[in-house]
Amino acid sequence: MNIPILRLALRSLFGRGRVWLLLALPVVLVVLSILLRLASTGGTPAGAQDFLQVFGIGIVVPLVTMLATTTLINSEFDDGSIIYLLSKPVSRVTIIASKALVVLAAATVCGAVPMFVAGLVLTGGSGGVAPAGLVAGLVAAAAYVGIFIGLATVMKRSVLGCLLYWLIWESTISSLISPVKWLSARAWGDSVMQAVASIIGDGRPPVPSPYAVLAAVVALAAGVVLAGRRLAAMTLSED
Amino acid sequence: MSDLQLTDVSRRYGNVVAVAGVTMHIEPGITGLLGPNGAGKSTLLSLMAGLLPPSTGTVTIGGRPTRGNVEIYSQIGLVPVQESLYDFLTGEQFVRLNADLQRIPQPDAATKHAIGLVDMAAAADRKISTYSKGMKQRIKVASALVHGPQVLLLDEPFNGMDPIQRRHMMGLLTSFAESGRTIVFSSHILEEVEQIARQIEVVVAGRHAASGDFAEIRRLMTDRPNQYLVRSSDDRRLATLLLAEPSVRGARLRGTNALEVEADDLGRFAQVVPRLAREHGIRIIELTPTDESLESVFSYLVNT
Repeated sequence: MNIPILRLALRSLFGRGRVWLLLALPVVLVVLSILLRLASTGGTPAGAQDFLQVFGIGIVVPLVTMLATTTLINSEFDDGSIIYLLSKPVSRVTIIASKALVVLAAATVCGAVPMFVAGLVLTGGSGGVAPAGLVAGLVAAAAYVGIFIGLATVMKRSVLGCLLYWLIWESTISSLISPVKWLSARAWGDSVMQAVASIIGDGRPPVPSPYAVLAAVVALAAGVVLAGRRLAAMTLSED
Repeated sequence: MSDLQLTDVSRRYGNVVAVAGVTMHIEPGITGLLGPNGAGKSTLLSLMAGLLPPSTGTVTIGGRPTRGNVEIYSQIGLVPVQESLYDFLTGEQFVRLNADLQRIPQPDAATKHAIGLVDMAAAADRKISTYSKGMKQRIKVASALVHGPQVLLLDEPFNGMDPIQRRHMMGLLTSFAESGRTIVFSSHILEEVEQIARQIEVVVAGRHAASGDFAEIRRLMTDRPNQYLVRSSDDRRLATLLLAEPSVRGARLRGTNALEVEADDLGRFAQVVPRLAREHGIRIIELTPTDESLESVFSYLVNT
């Protein structure tokens, strides 16, 4: 890890106007959970888990991760400002790994931790829903970081690509075509959620949770390595 | 120690050849990389900076390859052309970032010094997003100089600068070169290059077209055959008279009311035409150079 790059990434994420967008999503998540708690008299752990899966893993975690990844990685690739980091005695993989670490930290603070808080609000600590939300949020975030970075290496204007990937692949196709769950960050998060919460609710988790964790780690590592390789050949301008 | 050596360097993108078989030896001092847009100047600078792997050939600085060796960047300062930089930082924070990334011993003092060099101390606390184009260019140069590199590479450094900023930047590069460092900058403007560059390397269509000091390059560019279109009150007689002049290579009637002339020596030809016209009472209606564009100058260089 490289300290100046970590500091720069933190400034880039939290020192600009977009920090409000980053913070708005978790606030909405927690506020919604409070409203749900107030509205329903007998909130069940299963209901809380559903809410966290649909709104937390389905929306807040991918959006927060997308915002952080595109700010720190994709847009710097696209506009060429990454050159200032590349022309320094720092290895390519360290550059990307440092940035990925900050993205993960942001996803933890603005995605996984709010899921924990929302879980506590909804269940008051029963059924293990809150810690399940934390762990599942982390696993999904790790997978999304890797996937979004990977997209940045194969497309030119990748911010739109990330958005389309999330809308089409994760939100639509993976719920329509069952085998896609093996390749879906959302399904991995759901699986971990169900395994940790250990609620016998709506059947088995989509995929075995060890596989889900492993897949998320592989996706993250693959994204970092791919991006490092893409950085191995850069031009100063289009000439 | 700070010599930049390119040996038979080529770079292909699929079937497209961006740079073909370039061999250059660049010594300390200022070298201008001159060529029309799209000639491969940026690709060449990227190859020099080790950002882009050559398809064939090698690039070395002081004998060490620039590729696959990130430690070489402590020897290189790079000023890219694009304006996008971390513009949520202040100028000082940006230069300091570069100092920190270079892990130099006294980053604070070096940052101050570099900002002073480009005359940006007054605006150093402002966010880069508020800077003008010329100020951005200067802060980029400060960030590239902060670690005192042996080699400074600049991509179109004078783009978007007004004449005063340009003169200031030229002075800065000149003084940096006087301390024994190697400076390479790209440009598509001959006048810009010949003002400060001791050595000029001309690149056209990815090839190394010419090399020399500015006097040689200027001679190559102006002493080439020039084409003119002349309209006069008596084209046929004018053609006869012109052909007697040693500076004129050829004259051809075009249609009924125009004359195409090819001349060798621009200076001489410019005197000959009015003299002949005056002596023989021929009225010149129009005299237009037909291939003055830079591209034709470059294509001439490539073909010789």
